[in-house]
Amino acid sequence: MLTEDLTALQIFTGLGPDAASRICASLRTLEFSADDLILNEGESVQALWIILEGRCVVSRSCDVSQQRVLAELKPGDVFGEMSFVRRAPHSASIRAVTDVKVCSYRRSEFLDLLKDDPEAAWRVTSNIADVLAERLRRMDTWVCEIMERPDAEDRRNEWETFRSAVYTNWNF
Amino acid sequence: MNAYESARHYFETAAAVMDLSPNMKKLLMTPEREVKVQVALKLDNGEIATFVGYRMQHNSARGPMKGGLRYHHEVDAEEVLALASLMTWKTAVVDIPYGGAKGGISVAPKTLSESELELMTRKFVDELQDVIGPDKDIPAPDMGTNAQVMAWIVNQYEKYHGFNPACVTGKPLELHGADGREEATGRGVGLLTEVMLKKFDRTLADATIALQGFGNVGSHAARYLSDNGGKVVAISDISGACYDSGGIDIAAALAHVKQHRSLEGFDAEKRISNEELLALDVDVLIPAALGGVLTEENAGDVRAKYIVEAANGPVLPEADEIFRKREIPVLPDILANAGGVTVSYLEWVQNRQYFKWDLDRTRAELARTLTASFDKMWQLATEKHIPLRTAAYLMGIGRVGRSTVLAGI
Repeated sequence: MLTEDLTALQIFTGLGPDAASRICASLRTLEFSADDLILNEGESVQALWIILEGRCVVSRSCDVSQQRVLAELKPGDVFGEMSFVRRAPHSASIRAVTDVKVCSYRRSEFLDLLKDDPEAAWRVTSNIADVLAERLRRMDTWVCEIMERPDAEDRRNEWETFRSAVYTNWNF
Repeated sequence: MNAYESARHYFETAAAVMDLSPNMKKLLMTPEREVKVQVALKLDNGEIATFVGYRMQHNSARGPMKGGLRYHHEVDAEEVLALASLMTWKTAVVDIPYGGAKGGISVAPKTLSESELELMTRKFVDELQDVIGPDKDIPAPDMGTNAQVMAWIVNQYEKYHGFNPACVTGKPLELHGADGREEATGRGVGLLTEVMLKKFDRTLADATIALQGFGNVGSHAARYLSDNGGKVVAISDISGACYDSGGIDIAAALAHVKQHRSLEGFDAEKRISNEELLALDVDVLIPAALGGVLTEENAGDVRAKYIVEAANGPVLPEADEIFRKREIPVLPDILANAGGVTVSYLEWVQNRQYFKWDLDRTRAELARTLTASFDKMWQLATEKHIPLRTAAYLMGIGRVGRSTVLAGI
C-alpha cells in the first residue's frame, strides 16, 4: 500500500510520512471470499482491520433471532477497534458479503510505535477515539428509539394479551 | 379540538382504561381504505365544476361498512375519517352486524340546481361503485343529502350491478325505503332520553326539555318527547330559539316549519338566543343541531341535569370533562343518535328479505335494540365507575376487538 493511500484512511489520517511508511510496512494484507467469516464473535485477536475492497456485515447473536445484522461495512471502514484498545473478546462477528481484501495492523506493532514515535501513536489513538465516538453517538440514537418502543416482550404477546382482555375484563 | 381530535381523544380515553398496547390501538384506528376521487361535471350554465369526493372505510371486522354521505362545503379527509371511525364504534355499540365508513363531497349543495346535484351524485357513484355495495359498504343520508340523493345512488349503482336496493339505505318509501327510517334518529333520541330518565327514577311526564335544532333529528325527537308526556320548553333553529314555560305546542311548531320552512315568526312566550337556550334551567338539554356547541367557555353555564347528544359531537372533550366534574350525565352521540343507523340496518334487512315490514315492527325493533344497548352501557358504567361515553366506547371497542381476534388479521 502507498503511504498516501494509507493516510487517506480515517484511522491513519494526519500521520507524517515517516510514521505512515513505517505503518505501511507493518500492515498485513488478507483476502477473503464472499460469505467467509473474518472475525468471530467471542474470539480475541488484538488487531485493527481496515477494508480495502469489498463489503462485510457486522452481526451478533441475539436471544430472539440467531444473528442480527448491525451494520454493513465498505472500503475504508475499520473493525476490531474495541478489542484493539482493550483486550476483550470481539463483541460481534464480521462476515464477507462479497470477495473482500482487508489489511490488519497488530497491537504489538502499535506498542512499538508508541515507544519510538509517541506523537504518531497519539494520532492513531485519537483517530480510533473518533471512530468510537461516532459509533457511540449512533448507539445513543438507537437507545432512544428503543426506549420509546414498548417492551419487546409485551409486543410479542400483545395479540394474546388483547384476546384475553376482550374475553375477560371487557367481555359484556 | 376539531372532529378528528375529539374522536381520537374519546378513543384514547377508552383505550387507556382497556390498557391497549400502541400497536393494537394502531390496528383499530388505521382505516382499511381511503378513497378520494375527482367529481367533475358541466354546470347548467356550461361552466366546468370540479369537486373532491371521499369515502373513508374505517373497519369491516364486524360486517359490511356503514355510514352517511354528506354534501357540505367543509367536508375534508380528516373530518370524514373521524366520522368513519365513530361509525365503527356506533354500529358495534348497538350491535348491528356492520363496520364503519363515511363519505362526502366538499360542495355547498344549495349552490347547485337539482339537475346538477343529480349529475354530481351519479358521477360520484361512477367513481365509488366498485368499492361500495350491500356486502361491502352501504351509504346513507347525512348532512346535505336526503332520500332523493339515495334514489339517484341506487339507480346509478344498479346500472353497473343490476337490481340492488340494499346498496344504500335511507331511500324513499317508493323505492324500497323503510317506513320509520326518516323519524328513526329523532325517535331514538326521544326513546333513550326516556330510558335514561327512568334510571334516575324520573319520568318524561315530570321532565322539562330544551332542544337545540329543529331539523330532521330535533323535530322527530320533540314529537316523541311531547307525545309521551315530556314538556319541551324550548326549541330552536337557525332563526333563533322559542321558549314557553308551559311547554311548546310541538304539533303547531311542526306545522309552522312545514309552512314557513323555519321557526321565524312562530308564536311562543318569548324568543331567546341559541346561546340562552343552552343555559336554560331544564332537566334535559338536547343539542340536536351542530357539533361543538358545548365548549369549555359555556359548559359552566349549563343548568340542565342531563345532556343527550343528538347531534354528532356537540360536547367538546373539554366541556365533557367539566360535565363529568359537575356530575351531569352525558348520553353520548354514539348511542344517542344511533337510531338512524339501526333503522338503516332494518331497511337493509327488509331489502335483502324482499319483505316489507310495517311501521310498528320497525319501531319495536328500534326500541328493543336501543334499550338493550343502553342497559349494557349503563351496567358497564356503573360497574367500572366510568362515564357513559367511556362505557359506550368500551362496548364498541370490545366488540370490534373480539371480532378482530376471532377472524385474525
